[in-house]
Amino acid sequence: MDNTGRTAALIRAVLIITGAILITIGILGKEYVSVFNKAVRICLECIGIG
Amino acid sequence: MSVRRTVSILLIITAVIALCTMYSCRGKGTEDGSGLQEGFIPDQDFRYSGNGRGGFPSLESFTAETLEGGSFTADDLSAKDITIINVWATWCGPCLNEMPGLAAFSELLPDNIGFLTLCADAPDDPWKTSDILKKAGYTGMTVISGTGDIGNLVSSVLYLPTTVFVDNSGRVADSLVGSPNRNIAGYYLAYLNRALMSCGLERISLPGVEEENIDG
Amino acid sequence: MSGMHRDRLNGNGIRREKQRRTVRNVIRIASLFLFNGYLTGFRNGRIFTGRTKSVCVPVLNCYSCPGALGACPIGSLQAALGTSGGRFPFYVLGTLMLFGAVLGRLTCGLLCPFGLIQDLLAKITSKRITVPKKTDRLLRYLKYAVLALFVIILPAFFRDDFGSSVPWFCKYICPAGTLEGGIPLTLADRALREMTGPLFWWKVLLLAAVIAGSVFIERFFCRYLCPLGAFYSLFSRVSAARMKIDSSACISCGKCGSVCPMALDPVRQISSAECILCGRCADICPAEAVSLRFSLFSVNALREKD
Repeated sequence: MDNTGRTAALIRAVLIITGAILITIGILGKEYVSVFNKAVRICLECIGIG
Repeated sequence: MSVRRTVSILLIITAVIALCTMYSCRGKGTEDGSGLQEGFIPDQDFRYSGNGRGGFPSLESFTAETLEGGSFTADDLSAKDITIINVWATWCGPCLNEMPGLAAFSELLPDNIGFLTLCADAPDDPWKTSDILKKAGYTGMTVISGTGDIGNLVSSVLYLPTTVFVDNSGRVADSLVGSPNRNIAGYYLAYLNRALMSCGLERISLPGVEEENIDG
Repeated sequence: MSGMHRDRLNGNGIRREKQRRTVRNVIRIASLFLFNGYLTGFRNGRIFTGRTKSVCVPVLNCYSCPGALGACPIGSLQAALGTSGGRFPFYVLGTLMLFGAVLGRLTCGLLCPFGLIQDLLAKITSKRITVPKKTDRLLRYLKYAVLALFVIILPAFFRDDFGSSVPWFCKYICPAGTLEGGIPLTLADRALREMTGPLFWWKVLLLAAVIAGSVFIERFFCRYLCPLGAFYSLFSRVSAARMKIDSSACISCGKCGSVCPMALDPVRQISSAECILCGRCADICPAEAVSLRFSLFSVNALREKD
Protein backbone atom coordinates (compact mmCIF):
# COMPACT_ATOMS: atom_id res chain seq x y z
CA MET A 1 0.00 0.00 0.00
CA ASP A 2 1.49 3.27 -1.02
CA ASN A 3 -0.41 5.42 1.35
CA THR A 4 -0.12 3.18 4.43
CA GLY A 5 0.86 6.19 6.41
CA ARG A 6 -2.22 8.12 5.53
CA THR A 7 -4.62 5.26 6.08
CA ALA A 8 -3.06 4.49 9.42
CA ALA A 9 -3.24 8.12 10.48
CA LEU A 10 -6.88 8.26 9.46
CA ILE A 11 -7.80 5.14 11.37
CA ARG A 12 -5.87 6.44 14.36
CA ALA A 13 -7.78 9.72 14.26
CA VAL A 14 -11.10 7.89 14.05
CA LEU A 15 -10.14 5.66 16.98
CA ILE A 16 -9.07 8.59 19.12
CA ILE A 17 -12.22 10.54 18.35
CA THR A 18 -14.41 7.51 18.93
CA GLY A 19 -12.61 6.83 22.16
CA ALA A 20 -13.15 10.39 23.30
CA ILE A 21 -16.84 10.19 22.41
CA LEU A 22 -17.28 6.92 24.27
CA ILE A 23 -15.53 8.33 27.30
CA THR A 24 -17.80 11.37 27.21
CA ILE A 25 -20.91 9.21 27.00
CA GLY A 26 -19.56 7.19 29.89
CA ILE A 27 -18.88 10.27 31.97
CA LEU A 28 -22.34 11.63 31.29
CA GLY A 29 -23.78 8.29 32.34
CA LYS A 30 -21.70 8.45 35.52
CA GLU A 31 -19.97 5.21 34.68
CA TYR A 32 -16.84 6.45 36.37
CA VAL A 33 -18.74 6.18 39.66
CA SER A 34 -19.26 2.47 38.99
CA VAL A 35 -15.61 2.04 38.14
CA PHE A 36 -14.74 3.88 41.33
CA ASN A 37 -17.08 1.80 43.46
CA LYS A 38 -15.62 -1.42 42.17
CA ALA A 39 -12.07 -0.22 42.45
CA VAL A 40 -12.24 0.91 46.07
CA ARG A 41 -13.95 -2.15 47.45
CA ILE A 42 -12.50 -5.56 47.21
CA CYS A 43 -14.89 -8.26 46.24
CA LEU A 44 -13.03 -11.01 48.00
CA GLU A 45 -13.96 -13.58 45.45
CA CYS A 46 -12.30 -11.46 42.81
CA ILE A 47 -8.90 -11.82 44.40
CA GLY A 48 -9.29 -15.50 44.99
CA ILE A 49 -10.19 -15.41 48.65
CA GLY A 50 -13.44 -16.76 49.99
CA MET B 1 10.96 14.95 16.77
CA SER B 2 14.54 15.49 17.78
CA VAL B 3 16.07 13.26 20.39
CA ARG B 4 16.58 16.21 22.70
CA ARG B 5 12.96 17.19 22.56
CA THR B 6 11.84 13.63 23.13
CA VAL B 7 14.15 13.25 26.09
CA SER B 8 13.05 16.47 27.70
CA ILE B 9 9.39 15.66 27.25
CA LEU B 10 9.92 12.26 28.77
CA LEU B 11 11.84 13.74 31.66
CA ILE B 12 9.01 16.14 32.32
CA ILE B 13 6.57 13.26 32.32
CA THR B 14 8.77 11.39 34.76
CA ALA B 15 8.89 14.39 37.05
CA VAL B 16 5.12 14.64 36.96
CA ILE B 17 4.84 10.98 37.79
CA ALA B 18 7.19 11.33 40.74
CA LEU B 19 5.17 14.23 42.03
CA CYS B 20 1.96 12.25 41.76
CA THR B 21 3.42 9.44 43.81
CA MET B 22 4.56 11.75 46.54
CA TYR B 23 1.18 13.46 46.54
CA SER B 24 -0.74 10.24 46.88
CA CYS B 25 1.27 9.10 49.86
CA ARG B 26 0.52 12.25 51.79
CA GLY B 27 -2.61 10.67 53.16
CA LYS B 28 -4.98 13.31 54.33
CA GLY B 29 -7.00 14.86 51.58
CA THR B 30 -6.06 12.33 48.97
CA GLU B 31 -7.69 9.21 50.33
CA ASP B 32 -11.07 10.78 50.20
CA GLY B 33 -13.16 9.76 47.27
CA SER B 34 -16.28 11.02 48.92
CA GLY B 35 -17.14 13.25 46.00
CA LEU B 36 -17.71 10.08 44.08
CA GLN B 37 -19.90 8.27 46.52
CA GLU B 38 -23.40 8.33 45.19
CA GLY B 39 -26.13 8.00 47.72
CA PHE B 40 -23.88 7.60 50.74
CA ILE B 41 -22.10 10.78 51.72
CA PRO B 42 -19.58 10.66 54.54
CA ASP B 43 -18.76 13.64 56.72
CA GLN B 44 -16.33 16.09 55.19
CA ASP B 45 -13.67 15.52 57.78
CA PHE B 46 -14.11 11.79 58.14
CA ARG B 47 -10.99 9.76 57.61
CA TYR B 48 -11.05 6.01 57.97
CA SER B 49 -7.66 4.63 58.85
CA GLY B 50 -8.56 1.02 59.41
CA ASN B 51 -8.06 -1.83 57.00
CA GLY B 52 -11.67 -2.60 56.22
CA ARG B 53 -11.79 -5.39 58.74
CA GLY B 54 -12.45 -3.47 61.90
CA GLY B 55 -12.44 -0.11 63.57
CA PHE B 56 -15.71 0.89 61.97
CA PRO B 57 -17.22 4.25 62.99
CA SER B 58 -20.14 4.26 65.39
CA LEU B 59 -23.57 5.08 64.05
CA GLU B 60 -24.66 7.90 66.26
CA SER B 61 -25.66 10.81 64.12
CA PHE B 62 -26.88 10.04 60.65
CA THR B 63 -29.75 10.03 58.20
CA ALA B 64 -30.63 7.05 56.09
CA GLU B 65 -33.28 6.40 53.51
CA THR B 66 -34.68 3.01 52.65
CA LEU B 67 -35.72 1.34 49.45
CA GLU B 68 -39.37 1.48 50.49
CA GLY B 69 -39.15 5.25 50.78
CA GLY B 70 -38.99 5.30 54.55
CA SER B 71 -36.10 6.21 56.80
CA PHE B 72 -33.83 4.49 59.21
CA THR B 73 -32.71 6.38 62.31
CA ALA B 74 -30.70 6.09 65.49
CA ASP B 75 -33.97 5.47 67.30
CA ASP B 76 -34.37 2.28 65.31
CA LEU B 77 -30.94 1.23 66.53
CA SER B 78 -31.68 1.94 70.17
CA ALA B 79 -34.87 -0.08 70.00
CA LYS B 80 -32.90 -3.30 69.48
CA ASP B 81 -30.17 -4.98 71.49
CA ILE B 82 -28.17 -5.64 68.35
CA THR B 83 -28.87 -4.49 64.81
CA ILE B 84 -27.27 -6.50 62.04
CA ILE B 85 -26.43 -4.46 58.97
CA ASN B 86 -25.32 -6.43 55.91
CA VAL B 87 -23.49 -4.21 53.42
CA TRP B 88 -23.57 -5.50 49.86
CA ALA B 89 -23.47 -4.33 46.24
CA THR B 90 -25.32 -5.42 43.14
CA TRP B 91 -22.12 -6.35 41.38
CA CYS B 92 -20.74 -8.50 44.14
CA GLY B 93 -21.38 -12.17 43.41
CA PRO B 94 -20.75 -13.58 46.89
CA CYS B 95 -23.08 -10.93 48.35
CA LEU B 96 -25.93 -12.04 46.15
CA ASN B 97 -25.19 -15.70 46.76
CA GLU B 98 -25.56 -15.41 50.49
CA MET B 99 -28.71 -13.30 50.26
CA PRO B 100 -31.23 -16.16 50.37
CA GLY B 101 -29.46 -17.67 53.38
CA LEU B 102 -29.48 -14.28 55.05
CA ALA B 103 -33.12 -13.73 54.24
CA ALA B 104 -34.01 -17.02 55.92
CA PHE B 105 -31.74 -16.17 58.86
CA SER B 106 -33.37 -12.79 59.36
CA GLU B 107 -36.81 -14.35 59.56
CA LEU B 108 -35.76 -16.50 62.50
CA LEU B 109 -34.41 -13.63 64.59
CA PRO B 110 -36.20 -12.70 67.84
CA ASP B 111 -37.70 -9.25 68.35
CA ASN B 112 -34.73 -7.83 70.19
CA ILE B 113 -32.43 -8.32 67.20
CA GLY B 114 -32.75 -6.05 64.21
CA PHE B 115 -31.68 -6.88 60.66
CA LEU B 116 -31.31 -4.73 57.63
CA THR B 117 -29.27 -4.70 54.46
CA LEU B 118 -27.48 -1.78 52.94
CA CYS B 119 -26.89 -1.66 49.22
CA ALA B 120 -23.63 0.22 48.80
CA ASP B 121 -23.81 1.02 45.13
CA ALA B 122 -27.04 3.01 45.49
CA PRO B 123 -27.97 2.44 41.89
CA ASP B 124 -29.96 5.09 40.09
CA ASP B 125 -32.24 2.21 39.38
CA PRO B 126 -33.68 0.91 42.66
CA TRP B 127 -35.64 -1.66 40.73
CA LYS B 128 -32.51 -3.73 40.27
CA THR B 129 -31.86 -3.73 44.00
CA SER B 130 -35.41 -4.66 44.92
CA ASP B 131 -35.42 -7.29 42.19
CA ILE B 132 -32.37 -8.94 43.68
CA LEU B 133 -33.81 -8.82 47.16
CA LYS B 134 -37.14 -10.21 46.02
CA LYS B 135 -35.46 -13.09 44.24
CA ALA B 136 -33.63 -13.89 47.45
CA GLY B 137 -36.84 -13.86 49.41
CA TYR B 138 -35.81 -10.94 51.58
CA THR B 139 -38.67 -8.87 52.95
CA GLY B 140 -36.95 -6.63 55.48
CA MET B 141 -35.55 -3.12 55.34
CA THR B 142 -32.84 -2.02 52.91
CA VAL B 143 -30.97 1.25 53.19
CA ILE B 144 -30.04 2.82 49.86
CA SER B 145 -28.72 6.24 50.82
CA GLY B 146 -27.60 8.22 53.79
CA THR B 147 -25.35 10.88 55.29
CA GLY B 148 -23.31 11.33 58.41
CA ASP B 149 -22.19 8.21 60.25
CA ILE B 150 -23.92 5.92 57.79
CA GLY B 151 -21.93 7.56 55.01
CA ASN B 152 -18.81 7.16 57.13
CA LEU B 153 -19.58 3.49 57.61
CA VAL B 154 -19.99 2.88 53.90
CA SER B 155 -16.67 4.52 53.11
CA SER B 156 -15.05 2.35 55.75
CA VAL B 157 -16.31 -0.78 54.12
CA LEU B 158 -13.47 -2.00 51.92
CA TYR B 159 -14.52 -5.60 51.44
CA LEU B 160 -17.80 -6.92 50.21
CA PRO B 161 -19.80 -8.33 51.77
CA THR B 162 -19.26 -6.79 55.19
CA THR B 163 -21.77 -7.24 57.96
CA VAL B 164 -21.64 -5.12 61.09
CA PHE B 165 -23.31 -5.93 64.39
CA VAL B 166 -24.32 -2.67 66.00
CA ASP B 167 -25.41 -2.28 69.62
CA ASN B 168 -28.20 -0.02 70.79
CA SER B 169 -25.93 2.97 71.19
CA GLY B 170 -24.63 2.70 67.65
CA ARG B 171 -21.27 1.18 68.46
CA VAL B 172 -20.10 -1.55 66.11
CA ALA B 173 -19.67 -4.51 68.46
CA ASP B 174 -18.52 -7.01 65.87
CA SER B 175 -18.13 -7.47 62.15
CA LEU B 176 -18.05 -10.26 59.61
CA VAL B 177 -16.06 -9.61 56.48
CA GLY B 178 -16.60 -11.87 53.51
CA SER B 179 -19.18 -14.55 53.07
CA PRO B 180 -19.01 -18.03 54.54
CA ASN B 181 -19.48 -20.56 51.77
CA ARG B 182 -21.71 -22.80 53.84
CA ASN B 183 -24.06 -22.68 56.81
CA ILE B 184 -24.70 -18.97 56.44
CA ALA B 185 -27.14 -18.93 59.33
CA GLY B 186 -24.71 -20.80 61.56
CA TYR B 187 -21.88 -18.34 60.98
CA TYR B 188 -24.04 -15.26 61.33
CA LEU B 189 -25.52 -16.64 64.53
CA ALA B 190 -22.04 -17.19 65.91
CA TYR B 191 -21.00 -13.61 65.18
CA LEU B 192 -24.30 -12.33 66.54
CA ASN B 193 -23.72 -14.19 69.78
CA ARG B 194 -20.18 -12.92 70.03
CA ALA B 195 -21.53 -9.39 69.62
CA LEU B 196 -24.22 -10.00 72.24
CA MET B 197 -21.67 -11.30 74.71
CA SER B 198 -19.41 -8.32 74.17
CA CYS B 199 -22.34 -6.15 75.20
CA GLY B 200 -22.91 -8.22 78.30
CA LEU B 201 -26.08 -9.75 76.88
CA GLU B 202 -27.31 -13.30 76.72
CA ARG B 203 -26.50 -15.54 73.75
CA ILE B 204 -29.43 -16.75 71.71
CA SER B 205 -30.12 -19.87 69.76
CA LEU B 206 -32.26 -20.24 66.67
CA PRO B 207 -34.42 -23.20 65.72
CA GLY B 208 -32.81 -25.46 63.19
CA VAL B 209 -29.58 -23.50 63.09
CA GLU B 210 -26.33 -25.12 64.04
CA GLU B 211 -24.08 -22.44 65.35
CA GLU B 212 -20.57 -22.44 63.98
CA ASN B 213 -17.52 -22.24 66.18
CA ILE B 214 -15.72 -19.05 65.26
CA ASP B 215 -13.29 -18.61 68.08
CA GLY B 216 -11.59 -21.93 67.76
CA MET C 1 15.78 12.06 7.65
CA SER C 2 17.63 8.82 8.11
CA GLY C 3 20.66 9.91 6.08
CA MET C 4 21.66 12.28 8.84
CA HIS C 5 22.04 9.43 11.25
CA ARG C 6 24.32 7.32 9.14
CA ASP C 7 27.51 7.82 11.13
CA ARG C 8 26.29 5.96 14.17
CA LEU C 9 29.36 3.99 14.86
CA ASN C 10 30.98 6.96 16.57
CA GLY C 11 30.86 7.70 20.27
CA ASN C 12 28.08 10.26 19.99
CA GLY C 13 25.60 7.80 18.66
CA ILE C 14 26.37 5.28 21.37
CA ARG C 15 26.09 7.91 24.07
CA ARG C 16 22.72 8.96 22.73
CA GLU C 17 21.51 5.41 22.78
CA LYS C 18 22.67 4.97 26.35
CA GLN C 19 20.86 8.16 27.23
CA ARG C 20 17.67 6.87 25.67
CA ARG C 21 17.98 3.56 27.43
CA THR C 22 18.45 5.30 30.76
CA VAL C 23 15.45 7.51 30.14
CA ARG C 24 13.43 4.45 29.28
CA ASN C 25 14.46 2.64 32.44
CA VAL C 26 13.69 5.70 34.53
CA ILE C 27 10.24 5.85 32.99
CA ARG C 28 9.66 2.17 33.70
CA ILE C 29 10.46 2.54 37.35
CA ALA C 30 8.54 5.80 37.57
CA SER C 31 5.58 3.98 36.03
CA LEU C 32 5.75 1.37 38.72
CA PHE C 33 5.27 4.10 41.30
CA LEU C 34 2.79 6.08 39.28
CA PHE C 35 0.42 3.19 39.10
CA ASN C 36 1.20 1.74 42.50
CA GLY C 37 2.23 4.74 44.51
CA TYR C 38 0.09 4.18 47.58
CA LEU C 39 2.86 2.60 49.60
CA THR C 40 1.19 2.94 52.98
CA GLY C 41 -1.41 0.51 51.75
CA PHE C 42 1.11 -2.32 51.86
CA ARG C 43 1.88 -1.65 55.47
CA ASN C 44 -1.72 -1.38 56.62
CA GLY C 45 -3.21 -4.06 54.42
CA ARG C 46 -5.73 -1.71 52.86
CA ILE C 47 -6.34 -0.28 49.43
CA PHE C 48 -6.39 3.29 48.18
CA THR C 49 -9.81 4.90 48.06
CA GLY C 50 -9.03 8.24 46.49
CA ARG C 51 -10.66 9.88 43.51
CA THR C 52 -8.17 8.60 40.98
CA LYS C 53 -9.65 5.15 41.37
CA SER C 54 -12.37 6.29 39.00
CA VAL C 55 -9.79 6.45 36.20
CA CYS C 56 -8.52 3.38 34.37
CA VAL C 57 -4.80 3.07 34.03
CA PRO C 58 -3.41 1.85 30.70
CA VAL C 59 -1.62 -1.14 32.22
CA LEU C 60 -2.62 -4.42 33.77
CA ASN C 61 -2.63 -3.44 37.41
CA CYS C 62 -4.98 -5.01 39.90
CA TYR C 63 -7.05 -2.46 41.75
CA SER C 64 -6.98 -4.68 44.78
CA CYS C 65 -3.29 -4.00 45.01
CA PRO C 66 -2.72 -1.97 48.17
CA GLY C 67 -0.57 0.41 46.17
CA ALA C 68 -2.88 0.85 43.18
CA LEU C 69 -3.92 4.43 42.54
CA GLY C 70 -6.18 3.78 39.59
CA ALA C 71 -8.54 1.16 38.26
CA CYS C 72 -7.46 -1.86 36.25
CA PRO C 73 -8.94 -1.58 32.75
CA ILE C 74 -9.42 -5.32 32.40
CA GLY C 75 -11.04 -5.61 35.81
CA SER C 76 -13.25 -2.62 35.10
CA LEU C 77 -14.24 -4.05 31.75
CA GLN C 78 -15.34 -7.35 33.28
CA ALA C 79 -17.21 -5.53 36.01
CA ALA C 80 -18.99 -3.26 33.53
CA LEU C 81 -19.96 -6.19 31.31
CA GLY C 82 -21.04 -8.23 34.30
CA THR C 83 -23.31 -5.59 35.76
CA SER C 84 -26.74 -6.97 36.40
CA GLY C 85 -28.80 -6.00 33.40
CA GLY C 86 -25.68 -5.55 31.32
CA ARG C 87 -24.60 -2.09 30.24
CA PHE C 88 -22.36 -1.20 27.33
CA PRO C 89 -19.05 -0.18 28.85
CA PHE C 90 -18.66 3.22 27.16
CA TYR C 91 -16.28 4.73 29.64
CA VAL C 92 -13.89 1.79 29.98
CA LEU C 93 -13.91 0.93 26.28
CA GLY C 94 -13.35 4.55 25.29
CA THR C 95 -10.40 4.76 27.65
CA LEU C 96 -8.93 1.56 26.23
CA MET C 97 -9.38 2.79 22.66
CA LEU C 98 -7.62 6.02 23.47
CA PHE C 99 -4.72 4.20 25.06
CA GLY C 100 -4.60 1.76 22.18
CA ALA C 101 -4.56 4.40 19.50
CA VAL C 102 -2.01 6.61 21.18
CA LEU C 103 0.26 4.21 23.02
CA GLY C 104 -0.61 0.81 21.67
CA ARG C 105 1.79 -1.79 22.96
CA LEU C 106 4.23 0.87 24.08
CA THR C 107 2.22 0.43 27.26
CA CYS C 108 3.48 -3.13 27.45
CA GLY C 109 7.08 -2.33 26.81
CA LEU C 110 7.43 0.86 28.76
CA LEU C 111 4.71 1.28 31.34
CA CYS C 112 3.42 -2.06 32.55
CA PRO C 113 4.73 -2.99 36.00
CA PHE C 114 4.01 -6.64 35.38
CA GLY C 115 6.06 -6.38 32.22
CA LEU C 116 8.89 -4.88 34.23
CA ILE C 117 8.68 -7.79 36.64
CA GLN C 118 8.92 -10.27 33.79
CA ASP C 119 11.95 -8.49 32.40
CA LEU C 120 13.63 -8.61 35.79
CA LEU C 121 12.83 -12.30 36.13
CA ALA C 122 14.40 -12.95 32.74
CA LYS C 123 17.62 -11.44 34.03
CA ILE C 124 17.97 -14.20 36.60
CA THR C 125 19.53 -16.53 34.13
CA SER C 126 20.58 -16.35 30.53
CA LYS C 127 19.35 -19.90 29.97
CA ARG C 128 16.47 -19.84 27.60
CA ILE C 129 13.85 -22.33 26.58
CA THR C 130 13.33 -21.92 22.87
CA VAL C 131 9.75 -22.63 22.00
CA PRO C 132 9.46 -24.40 18.64
CA LYS C 133 8.18 -21.99 16.01
CA LYS C 134 4.92 -23.75 15.29
CA THR C 135 4.00 -24.12 18.95
CA ASP C 136 4.97 -20.54 19.61
CA ARG C 137 2.80 -19.26 16.80
CA LEU C 138 -0.17 -21.22 18.05
CA LEU C 139 0.31 -20.19 21.65
CA ARG C 140 0.37 -16.52 20.70
CA TYR C 141 -3.29 -16.82 19.84
CA LEU C 142 -4.09 -18.02 23.33
CA LYS C 143 -4.14 -14.48 24.71
CA TYR C 144 -6.87 -13.54 22.26
CA ALA C 145 -8.90 -16.48 23.48
CA VAL C 146 -8.35 -15.32 27.05
CA LEU C 147 -9.52 -11.85 26.08
CA ALA C 148 -12.56 -13.03 24.20
CA LEU C 149 -13.63 -15.71 26.63
CA PHE C 150 -12.59 -14.74 30.13
CA VAL C 151 -12.77 -10.97 29.85
CA ILE C 152 -15.73 -10.47 27.57
CA ILE C 153 -17.97 -13.44 26.88
CA LEU C 154 -18.08 -15.20 30.23
CA PRO C 155 -18.59 -12.06 32.36
CA ALA C 156 -21.15 -10.68 29.93
CA PHE C 157 -23.25 -13.77 29.34
CA PHE C 158 -22.80 -16.24 32.13
CA ARG C 159 -24.70 -15.18 35.17
CA ASP C 160 -26.22 -17.03 38.05
CA ASP C 161 -29.86 -16.91 39.11
CA PHE C 162 -29.46 -13.47 40.60
CA GLY C 163 -28.06 -11.99 37.48
CA SER C 164 -24.72 -11.57 39.17
CA SER C 165 -21.67 -12.41 37.20
CA VAL C 166 -18.12 -13.14 38.03
CA PRO C 167 -15.00 -11.40 36.73
CA TRP C 168 -13.71 -14.61 35.21
CA PHE C 169 -10.26 -13.41 34.28
CA CYS C 170 -9.65 -11.68 37.61
CA LYS C 171 -10.99 -14.55 39.61
CA TYR C 172 -9.48 -17.55 37.88
CA ILE C 173 -6.46 -16.37 35.97
CA CYS C 174 -4.87 -13.00 36.52
CA PRO C 175 -1.45 -13.51 38.06
CA ALA C 176 -0.99 -9.77 38.42
CA GLY C 177 -3.93 -9.76 40.79
CA THR C 178 -2.44 -12.54 42.86
CA LEU C 179 0.98 -10.92 42.98
CA GLU C 180 -0.16 -7.35 43.54
CA GLY C 181 -3.35 -7.91 45.51
CA GLY C 182 -3.91 -11.38 46.85
CA ILE C 183 -0.48 -11.97 48.28
CA PRO C 184 0.19 -8.55 49.87
CA LEU C 185 -3.25 -8.50 51.44
CA THR C 186 -3.08 -12.00 52.87
CA LEU C 187 0.42 -11.33 54.13
CA ALA C 188 -0.73 -8.20 55.94
CA ASP C 189 -3.85 -9.66 57.47
CA ARG C 190 -4.06 -12.91 59.37
CA ALA C 191 -7.84 -13.17 59.29
CA LEU C 192 -7.82 -12.87 55.51
CA ARG C 193 -5.24 -15.61 55.37
CA GLU C 194 -7.61 -17.89 57.22
CA MET C 195 -10.24 -17.33 54.57
CA THR C 196 -8.10 -18.54 51.72
CA GLY C 197 -9.33 -21.65 50.04
CA PRO C 198 -8.54 -23.82 47.01
CA LEU C 199 -9.17 -20.96 44.61
CA PHE C 200 -6.46 -18.88 46.20
CA TRP C 201 -3.97 -21.73 45.92
CA TRP C 202 -4.88 -22.32 42.29
CA LYS C 203 -4.04 -18.71 41.56
CA VAL C 204 -0.79 -18.92 43.48
CA LEU C 205 0.08 -21.98 41.43
CA LEU C 206 -0.71 -20.10 38.24
CA LEU C 207 1.41 -17.18 39.37
CA ALA C 208 4.28 -19.55 40.13
CA ALA C 209 3.97 -21.05 36.68
CA VAL C 210 4.00 -17.62 35.04
CA ILE C 211 7.02 -16.61 37.10
CA ALA C 212 8.83 -19.81 36.22
CA GLY C 213 7.94 -19.32 32.57
CA SER C 214 9.18 -15.73 32.60
CA VAL C 215 12.58 -16.78 33.91
CA PHE C 216 13.29 -18.96 30.90
CA ILE C 217 11.06 -17.44 28.23
CA GLU C 218 11.20 -13.68 27.96
CA ARG C 219 7.87 -11.93 28.48
CA PHE C 220 6.14 -15.28 28.85
CA PHE C 221 2.86 -13.80 30.09
CA CYS C 222 2.86 -11.01 27.51
CA ARG C 223 3.39 -13.45 24.67
CA TYR C 224 0.81 -16.04 25.47
CA LEU C 225 -1.68 -14.95 28.11
CA CYS C 226 -2.18 -11.22 28.63
CA PRO C 227 -5.62 -10.11 27.44
CA LEU C 228 -4.69 -6.44 27.63
CA GLY C 229 -1.67 -7.01 25.43
CA ALA C 230 -3.95 -8.88 23.07
CA PHE C 231 -6.29 -5.91 22.96
CA TYR C 232 -3.54 -3.37 22.36
CA SER C 233 -1.95 -5.56 19.72
CA LEU C 234 -5.01 -4.93 17.57
CA PHE C 235 -3.89 -1.32 17.35
CA SER C 236 -0.32 -2.15 16.37
CA ARG C 237 -0.53 -0.93 12.81
CA VAL C 238 -2.20 2.36 13.65
CA SER C 239 -1.01 3.43 17.07
CA ALA C 240 0.85 6.73 17.30
CA ALA C 241 3.78 4.98 18.95
CA ARG C 242 5.52 2.63 16.53
CA MET C 243 8.88 1.14 15.75
CA LYS C 244 10.31 2.12 12.40
CA ILE C 245 13.10 0.71 10.36
CA ASP C 246 15.05 2.51 7.67
CA SER C 247 15.73 -0.32 5.25
CA SER C 248 18.32 1.71 3.37
CA ALA C 249 20.41 2.03 6.53
CA CYS C 250 19.97 -1.58 7.63
CA ILE C 251 23.11 -3.69 7.25
CA SER C 252 21.34 -7.01 7.95
CA CYS C 253 23.57 -7.92 10.86
CA GLY C 254 20.74 -9.64 12.73
CA LYS C 255 21.60 -8.09 16.10
CA CYS C 256 18.10 -6.66 16.52
CA GLY C 257 16.42 -10.02 16.21
CA SER C 258 18.79 -11.57 18.72
CA VAL C 259 17.77 -9.20 21.51
CA CYS C 260 14.04 -9.04 20.87
CA PRO C 261 12.18 -10.28 23.97
CA MET C 262 9.18 -11.19 21.87
CA ALA C 263 11.30 -13.31 19.53
CA LEU C 264 10.63 -11.11 16.54
CA ASP C 265 12.85 -10.18 13.62
CA PRO C 266 12.53 -6.41 13.47
CA VAL C 267 13.78 -6.35 9.89
CA ARG C 268 10.78 -8.27 8.66
CA GLN C 269 8.30 -7.73 11.49
CA ILE C 270 8.77 -4.16 12.56
CA SER C 271 5.05 -3.44 12.90
CA SER C 272 4.11 -6.84 14.20
CA ALA C 273 1.22 -7.09 16.61
CA GLU C 274 3.61 -8.84 18.93
CA CYS C 275 6.04 -5.94 19.23
CA ILE C 276 5.95 -4.32 22.65
CA LEU C 277 8.08 -1.31 21.62
CA CYS C 278 10.67 -2.02 24.27
CA GLY C 279 13.30 -0.39 22.07
CA ARG C 280 16.04 -2.97 22.55
CA CYS C 281 16.39 -3.41 18.81
CA ALA C 282 16.84 0.33 18.37
CA ASP C 283 19.43 0.38 21.13
CA ILE C 284 21.58 -2.33 19.67
CA CYS C 285 21.38 -1.49 15.98
CA PRO C 286 24.88 -0.44 14.90
CA ALA C 287 23.53 1.44 11.92
CA GLU C 288 20.74 3.11 13.90
CA ALA C 289 18.27 1.95 11.36
CA VAL C 290 15.63 1.09 13.92
CA SER C 291 13.89 3.75 15.96
CA LEU C 292 10.86 4.39 18.09
CA ARG C 293 8.56 6.94 16.58
CA PHE C 294 5.66 8.82 18.00
CA SER C 295 3.53 10.44 15.38
CA LEU C 296 0.19 11.50 16.68
CA PHE C 297 -0.65 13.90 13.89
CA SER C 298 1.97 13.80 11.21
CA VAL C 299 1.86 11.42 8.35
CA ASN C 300 5.31 12.26 7.01
CA ALA C 301 7.25 10.15 9.44
CA LEU C 302 5.82 7.12 7.77
CA ARG C 303 7.73 7.61 4.54
CA GLU C 304 10.22 5.01 5.67
CA LYS C 305 9.48 1.34 5.26
CA ASP C 306 7.24 0.04 7.94
